[in-house]
Amino acid sequence: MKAVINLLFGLTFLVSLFCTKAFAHSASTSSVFIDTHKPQIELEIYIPLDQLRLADESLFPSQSDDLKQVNFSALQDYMQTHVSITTQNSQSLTAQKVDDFAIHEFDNVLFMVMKMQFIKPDNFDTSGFSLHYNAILHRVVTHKIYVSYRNDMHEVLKASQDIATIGLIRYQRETLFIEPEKITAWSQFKLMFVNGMSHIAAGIDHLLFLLCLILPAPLVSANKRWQSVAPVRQCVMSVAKIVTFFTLGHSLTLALTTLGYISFPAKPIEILVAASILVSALNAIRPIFSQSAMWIAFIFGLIHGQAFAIEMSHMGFDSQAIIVALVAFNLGIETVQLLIVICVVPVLAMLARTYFYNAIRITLSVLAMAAASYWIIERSV
Amino acid sequence: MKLGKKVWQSLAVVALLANLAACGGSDSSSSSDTDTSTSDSSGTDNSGTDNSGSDNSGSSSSSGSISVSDFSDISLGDCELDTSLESLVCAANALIDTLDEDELADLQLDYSDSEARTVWSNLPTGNVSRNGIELGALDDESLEAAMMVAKAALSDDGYQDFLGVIAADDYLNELGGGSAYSSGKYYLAFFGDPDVSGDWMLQLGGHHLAYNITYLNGDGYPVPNHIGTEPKVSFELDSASYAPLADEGDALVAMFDSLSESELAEAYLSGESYSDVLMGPDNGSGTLPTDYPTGDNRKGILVSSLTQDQQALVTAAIEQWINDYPEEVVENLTLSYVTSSAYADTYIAWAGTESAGVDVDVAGTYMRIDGPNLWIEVACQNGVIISDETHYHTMFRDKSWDYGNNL
Repeated sequence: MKAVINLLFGLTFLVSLFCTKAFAHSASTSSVFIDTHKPQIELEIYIPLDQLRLADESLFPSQSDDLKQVNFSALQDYMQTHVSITTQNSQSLTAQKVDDFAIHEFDNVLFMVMKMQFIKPDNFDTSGFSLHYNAILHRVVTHKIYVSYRNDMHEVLKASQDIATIGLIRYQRETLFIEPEKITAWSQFKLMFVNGMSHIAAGIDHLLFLLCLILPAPLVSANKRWQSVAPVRQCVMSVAKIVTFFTLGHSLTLALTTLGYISFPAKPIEILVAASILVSALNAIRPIFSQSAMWIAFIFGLIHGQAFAIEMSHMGFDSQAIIVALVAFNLGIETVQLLIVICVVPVLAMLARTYFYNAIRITLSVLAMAAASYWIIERSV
Repeated sequence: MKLGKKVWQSLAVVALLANLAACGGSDSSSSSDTDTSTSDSSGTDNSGTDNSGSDNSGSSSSSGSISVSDFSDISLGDCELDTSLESLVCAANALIDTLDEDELADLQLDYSDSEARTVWSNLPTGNVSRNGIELGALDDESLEAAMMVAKAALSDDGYQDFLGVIAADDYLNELGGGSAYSSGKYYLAFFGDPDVSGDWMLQLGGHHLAYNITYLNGDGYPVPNHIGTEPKVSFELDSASYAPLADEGDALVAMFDSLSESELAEAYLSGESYSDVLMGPDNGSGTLPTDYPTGDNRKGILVSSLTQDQQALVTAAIEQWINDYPEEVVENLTLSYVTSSAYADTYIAWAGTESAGVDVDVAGTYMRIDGPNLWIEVACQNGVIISDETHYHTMFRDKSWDYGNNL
């Protein structure tokens, strides 16, 4: 999935880049995207293969005109030789790895796409570093390399609007000083808010859990069965309690985990999330925790908060940014949650007044249990 | 009846799920709301000063292109004055008199805006928007006045090159190049007020064309100047024939053809390949370029080491560029390019496939004259529309006096 998003992102941006820069002219440019916020420095590099062959024929088989026949292992060495980083205290870094090779075609030009990763040394000065880059340029002196910021937050929007260009590497300008990208708190907030929204909207397991939790909300339990229909006011109150306590629960663990106070391995958390769906679906069939629904919602919230934290940890923030990111991400989740509740609860409240609500409730619960059981097994192996 | 109830139930389930999906769907779609405005990687800030020319919906000729051959023999009429600069200022003011307020706002820009003055490109105008008024959007009277400005700013040779370059765009359009190519998509701008003794700049350009002529107290500085053309060979349009850069290319080739084998080898830029000109568009930098080759990176064969006949061919090649402008306007600058002291520090150099020699029909062939101030380069690229032939990109710069050294 991540690869697909990467590809989409790269494609969108490259198309827009080439539309303004090199479209209609044959001397294509290279692009370098730098992520300065990850624990390692990551460069994503787009190189036009025709210019690469002009620069170094030995990277290609001599008997073939097919640019796709480029020799990958020779290219790794080539990139190691022509791309390096110098830290502020004059420490020279070479790429720890060059990988994720792929060939893409944009505007009839074939590009080699790859990633280079540099390990930041322990005493790394975070105020910036120098990038030395002369791939292709060492020979094709007219070659131009556009260098831009890139991080996973940009990926969230899959749009180029927040891509900031650092500069142009060209003849006699083979070194570029890279400062860490300055992201304003507001733009970060927007990005993370949207990220939180899209995360829960796309997270079918969280949605299913929420649905199971509120499925019996319009009903009143008696004799260990869901019996009569609750008054609207009571229904709204119980949904509000459930959602609030679920929110409190997941906010708490999301914050504690993201800020580094607690830590749980991902796999059991994923299984527990699936188990929580199973239990809440069972509860929707027969009331097993009707009186203490809000506390159950809170406890399951703690588990789901862990899962959100795992999601957020993939994005990699520095410590200053994390508070803003945390609040925005959580608010994004709450917003979608609220919208879903607003959409679903009135429907449930209406359906609860029909004779077939029991059938709906039980069918949905059984479906949710089936899905949850599948996830438990899938996530256990 | 039982079956009916089941159908009802499943329908209700589907309806509920659909409701849920619609709910979630509408939220998640907001995350893919994208603004496609692209950041300008070159740091150009040309917003506001240009681009509005294309908004003009005035009476323009069909499809925005102009009938280039109609303008091949225009005369300056009342603006045919004693000096070429007087003629130019007269033609410029005549144009100003034909324009409405909006058009004037596009045409006349602030001389102190160095960043806007350095916005020009080899690319079609759809890729990089230019300063000034769009020729194809002008009414007939204004268009003729604008063409007179071009005529007055350039020599006869230069004006024919200008017509050839804009005609080449219509030719590419005819060949199926698309609407990006049109003789109407060329732009004229004045930075400051046209004046025989004041400081101002004329900018005329579009695809494959950038005239940046700065006038300082009556002296002209016609640099940086980019011209390119596809095709580079003669072509016909509306039964007129054009070959805008043929003379320039031929003159450079003649210069290299006069070299002996060992001289040619000395002039060869070994270890360097050129996919384009080296000192291309300034992209709104607002400053003179500072990355010309220097010291040991200045390569090639010294003109002063050549015979008188060979040196005469170098001079002839340089003249192909400087003769595009009225002599009296640019002589203060251009005479300095061909002196013996300049030639003692002027290299001619070429690159490309060494075994093929200086062959402009081979993509990657590159020719250059690199003096203490003068910089002329010609790159041969594969055609974009006529892809089985090469085409020219050329640059003419002065390392010290681009933009009159007055940015």
